[in-house]
Amino acid sequence: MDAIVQMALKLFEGTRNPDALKFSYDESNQIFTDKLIKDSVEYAGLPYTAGMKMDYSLYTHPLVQHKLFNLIGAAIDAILPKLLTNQFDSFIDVRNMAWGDKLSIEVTSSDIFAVTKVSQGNVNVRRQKLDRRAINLTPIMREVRVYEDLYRLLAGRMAWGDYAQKVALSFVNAIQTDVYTALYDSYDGTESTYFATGSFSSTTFTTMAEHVKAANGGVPVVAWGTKLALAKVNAHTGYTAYPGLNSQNMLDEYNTMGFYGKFQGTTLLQIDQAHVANTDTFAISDSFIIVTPMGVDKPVKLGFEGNTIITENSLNKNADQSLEYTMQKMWDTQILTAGRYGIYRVS
Amino acid sequence: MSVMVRLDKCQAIYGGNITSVQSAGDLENGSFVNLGGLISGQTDVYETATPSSTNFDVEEVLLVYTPEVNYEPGKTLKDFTNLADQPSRAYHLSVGDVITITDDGLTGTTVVSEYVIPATGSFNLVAASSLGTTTRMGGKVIEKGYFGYSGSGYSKTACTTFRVVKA
Repeated sequence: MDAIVQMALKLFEGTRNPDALKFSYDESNQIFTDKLIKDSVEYAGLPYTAGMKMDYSLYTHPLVQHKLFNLIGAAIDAILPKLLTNQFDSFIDVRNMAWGDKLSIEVTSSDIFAVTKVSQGNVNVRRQKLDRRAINLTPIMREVRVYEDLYRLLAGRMAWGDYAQKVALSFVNAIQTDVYTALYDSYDGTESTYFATGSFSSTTFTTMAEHVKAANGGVPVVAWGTKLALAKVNAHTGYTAYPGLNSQNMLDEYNTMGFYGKFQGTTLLQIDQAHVANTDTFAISDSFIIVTPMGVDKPVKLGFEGNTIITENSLNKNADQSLEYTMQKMWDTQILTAGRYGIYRVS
Repeated sequence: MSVMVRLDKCQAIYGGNITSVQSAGDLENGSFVNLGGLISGQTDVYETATPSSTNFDVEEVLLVYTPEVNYEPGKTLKDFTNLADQPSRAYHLSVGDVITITDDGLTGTTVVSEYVIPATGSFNLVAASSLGTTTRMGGKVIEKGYFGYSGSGYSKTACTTFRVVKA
């Protein structure tokens, strides 16, 4: 992997976990930007001096522009899948297909065969067979286009590299929202075994967990939700009711993490909350808990068609001297799994 | 605080139909102006003229939108105003252009699916429930949202996005 791409990855991880960085985030960002400029300038065969800034003559140099643009593109392509798998890793099965290819996914049925009693000397019993389940992914093109005036860029009033990074983050946010929405809406009210609503009941929760476990051949199950959702997974109200049942350890755990690490034998794991783009609205419902089997076929199939398309218009192409940066990516998400999972909307 | 503009879509960006205008007073980005005469001695800078109901049906309305660069440090989009007697950039509008303006640059309260039209004696468009027949220019509000920051930089500024339906 290119050194610059590794730096970009580190930097992105630093946005979530600043302690992992060697320097402060701002310093790291500056080092990354300097390295971008250095690589681009040297690629063009120009002398690089420390602290060099991108001025007009550098920006308009075709080789500098070409290299800079490719470095940013490579960094984004490396970062996108990494960021994506952080959050919904346990739910998403990512597939990549070529342009124009249709992706069909088939999974086996979770049903098994019925065994009957039979008399000796008789093989003439009813025959059985199972169907497979299949879906077709039909990706739709998604696009983000940003712009900035050349004058503002030259005057250092904004950093163009920031926009490129933000665009990549925006795509991650959009994909995650799609994944979450697909999961959230995957059961309708007619499903009674694997779908429940209402205020939290430990019996309902554990019954569902047992169903999910049984339907998946007895593998361990875990429950996922946002911190606020998991906080509702509590047989009592608050910290102190029924003190006989809440050990000091449980109270500490509830206070430190915001929820119990385990509830009646089912491990609880947190999904990081996010915002709907440009709002203060939570992207993930705080009443949403999903119970999934571990290590079984992941429920959300995410298919990307083709590569990420990144285009940047050349300077002075637009009549108003604005720069544009466009990113396009094609994907679709659908729910299909050989296993079963449960959804509990806790009010 | 000054009006903020985001040019979502505009033919003039690519077609190049852009004009320099100059006003005797400070001019906010997001002003909608008529063109007056040429500034004396210049070939490409026009005086601004204020829209008026007497010529709504004939006069073209242009959007003023200059790159927001302040010489003082620590200034952002919200701090920029076009100075008097200096050239500002003005876009000729086309049907289908999409423009976002913070609500402080529009008179009245805009409503999605209603309209914005020029107003007499003002550079600001005014919210209107119907497009009417008397103005040459009109926009249909397609979205209400937030753009940029106001005040100390933490509260978002309400904005209106409209599509030009008459130009």
